Amino acid sequence: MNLHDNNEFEKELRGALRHESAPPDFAARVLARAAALTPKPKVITIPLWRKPAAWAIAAGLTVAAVIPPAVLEHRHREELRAMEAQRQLFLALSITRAKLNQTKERIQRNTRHTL
Amino acid sequence: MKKTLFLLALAVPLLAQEGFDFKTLDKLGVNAKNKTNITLDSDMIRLAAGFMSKDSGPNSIKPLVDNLKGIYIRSWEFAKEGQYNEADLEPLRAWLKQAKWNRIVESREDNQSSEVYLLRNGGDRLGGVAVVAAEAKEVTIVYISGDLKPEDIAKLSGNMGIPEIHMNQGPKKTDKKKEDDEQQGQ
Repeated sequence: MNLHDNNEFEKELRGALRHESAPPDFAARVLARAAALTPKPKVITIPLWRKPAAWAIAAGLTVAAVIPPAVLEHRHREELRAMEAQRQLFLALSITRAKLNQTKERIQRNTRHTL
Repeated sequence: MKKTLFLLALAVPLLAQEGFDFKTLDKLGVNAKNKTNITLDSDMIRLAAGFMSKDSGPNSIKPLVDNLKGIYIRSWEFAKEGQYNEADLEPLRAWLKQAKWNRIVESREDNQSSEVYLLRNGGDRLGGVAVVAAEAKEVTIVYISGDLKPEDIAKLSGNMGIPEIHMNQGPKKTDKKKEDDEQQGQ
C-alpha cells in the first residue's frame, strides 16, 4: 500500500464517519415504535356491584335510612296505645267510682228511711 | 276411659276461661241507645300504668292499678224504660254465686238495684270487686280483678285524682264486630 492509497482510504473513512444529524422526528418515531412494541399491562375492572365493600356500604346506608324511622314509628304507635289504654283506665275507674258512690248513697237513703 | 276424655275435653275450655264470659250479656244491650264497653287486660293495664305518675303518696292510684289484672265495664243506656230484660243479668249473677264471690251490698228500690260483690282471696286480701247496677234506663256492670286490699275499695270510690269522665265520652262500641273482637281479646 503506498501513500496515495493511504490518503484515499483515510478520505473514505472520514467520509463514512462524518457526523450526520438525526432527522428532527427521529426520537419521536423511536419512542412511538418502542411504545407499540411494549405489551400493555392488562387492567381488570371489577364492576361496583361485585365489590363486597360496596355491598357493605349499601347495606349500612339502607339500615341507617330504614331503621330509625321504623323505631320512631313503633314508639309513636306504642305511645298512642298507652294513651288510649290510660284514657280507658281512667274512664273505667271513673265509672266504678260513680257506681260505688251511687250504691253508697242509695244505702244511706234507705237506712235513713228505715230509721 | 272415653267418658274421662270427654269430661277432660269439656274441662279444658272452662279452665282456660279464667273470668266471666261477658258475651253472655250481649242480649242486654240489643236496644241500647248508648253503649260503653271497656276491656282492659293485665297487659293493657300495665301499659297504661307505665304512663302514670310514679308518685306513691297515700292518694296515689298507681299502687292500686299496679295490682290489677283486669277491668271490664259494660254499660248500656236506654231511651225508654223497659227496654232490657233484667233476667239477662242472671248469667252474671249466677257466676258470681258459683265463684267465691260474696255479695256485700244489695240495695233495691222501685225499679233500681245495686249489688256489690267482693272476691275474697284469703287473709285480708281481695281478688276482685264487681258492681251490678240496674236502673230503669241504664245497666252498668263493673268487674275488676286483681290483688286488692280492703282499703283499695274505699280508694276506688274516692277521687284518686282521676278526672271526672262522663260515660258518653267513652269508647262507644256500636259496631257489633268491634264488640266481638274485644270479647275475643279477653
